[in-house]
Amino acid sequence: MKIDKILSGCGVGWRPQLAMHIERRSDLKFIEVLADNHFMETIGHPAIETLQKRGIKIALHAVGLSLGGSSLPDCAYIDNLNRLIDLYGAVCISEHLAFVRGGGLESGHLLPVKRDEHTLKVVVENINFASQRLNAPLVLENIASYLTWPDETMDEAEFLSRVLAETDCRLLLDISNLYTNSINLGFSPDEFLDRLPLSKVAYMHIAGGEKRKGIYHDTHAHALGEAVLDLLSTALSKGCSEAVLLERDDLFPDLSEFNQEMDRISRALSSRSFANV
Amino acid sequence: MSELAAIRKKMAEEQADLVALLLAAEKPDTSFDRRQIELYSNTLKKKRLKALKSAWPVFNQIDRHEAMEAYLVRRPSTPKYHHGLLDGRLFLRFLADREELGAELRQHLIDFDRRYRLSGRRLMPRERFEQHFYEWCLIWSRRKLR
Repeated sequence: MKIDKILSGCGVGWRPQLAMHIERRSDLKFIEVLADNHFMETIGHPAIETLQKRGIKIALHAVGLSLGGSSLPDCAYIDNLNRLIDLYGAVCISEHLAFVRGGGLESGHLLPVKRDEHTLKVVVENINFASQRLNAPLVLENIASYLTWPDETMDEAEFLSRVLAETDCRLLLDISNLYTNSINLGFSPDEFLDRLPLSKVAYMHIAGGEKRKGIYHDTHAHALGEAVLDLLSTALSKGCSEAVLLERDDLFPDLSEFNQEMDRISRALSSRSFANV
Repeated sequence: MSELAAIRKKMAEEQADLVALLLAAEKPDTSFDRRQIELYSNTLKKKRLKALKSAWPVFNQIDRHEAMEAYLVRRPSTPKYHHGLLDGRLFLRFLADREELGAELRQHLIDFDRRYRLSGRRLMPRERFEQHFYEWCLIWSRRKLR
């Protein structure tokens, strides 16, 4: 199943704390439901179903498939995702290019893979394994990480491009993760974008962050910064998908601040649309 | 062993070493950048505690910082499912084992166990009749909650 143009416009990561703000946003085109928070549901969440009835599309987002792990993805976890895909009629399912466990321990966080030829082979097999079993198209997200493996033979742009070339997956380009890595690891995000197959971007994430002790943290708890919004505009001008989703996971804003955030994304998308005319 | 199986085996060892390194209280020598490891390790810990407190707001009011630190050493792995929610339940069990639960947390534990049961590694909401059954068991057996 292709997801070309299935997602477009403004989206937001659905969180119960934001449900009322989201409900009031009239220009919303899609939401993302964090699968791991909904595994206990046997019937759809009423607030999400209300949005669905308005024609708002639903993308599922996962954090536990561990596509970058040494083992094939867990079939029980995939079954849980499929149950939610079917429950909400999700148009796609996104997951990170990362691993989350090792040696029987769950890290509780996304960890970067060692970027080399060997890992590439395993990651491609893992992704194909998951793609074949998921009931919706799988979209891969780039992660934020200030941890790098010793003896890596590829940088992130090359690794991502190779994975996208060797699988049928499309990319969820997280602008804030890209910005975070560019600051913490010291590379040009513009050049990074130029090296990616941007026609494969299905949609983008954007979120706020802050710098602490010289490290930029993608907190999902702060307002969008100008630099991140500029990078979003750059990505749009280079031809990335015109579907952008706001992620907010903490220090939840009041309605006015939430609308300001969404308006800023909407303006970036409008500028892009005018530029195309 | 196929080439890919051999790669997976080596990868499993490397990833297990990294996860163990990140979750260990004391960091042994490593070929990773030490500062990056310390930073990532702190991030993992903060994220885990934040998820736990978010799912169990009572821990924002009741300070059990020292016990939480001990809990993380005892149980370095985050639960696979329902991170904060199940982690909080496991932390309560840890406190119960140390006989440090207290009346308020004990009530939270009872309320939680009345609403959820553990099935494998997943939490399942109890049906209403199950909740009543749990309450009856609690009353009649006066069992020690574990």
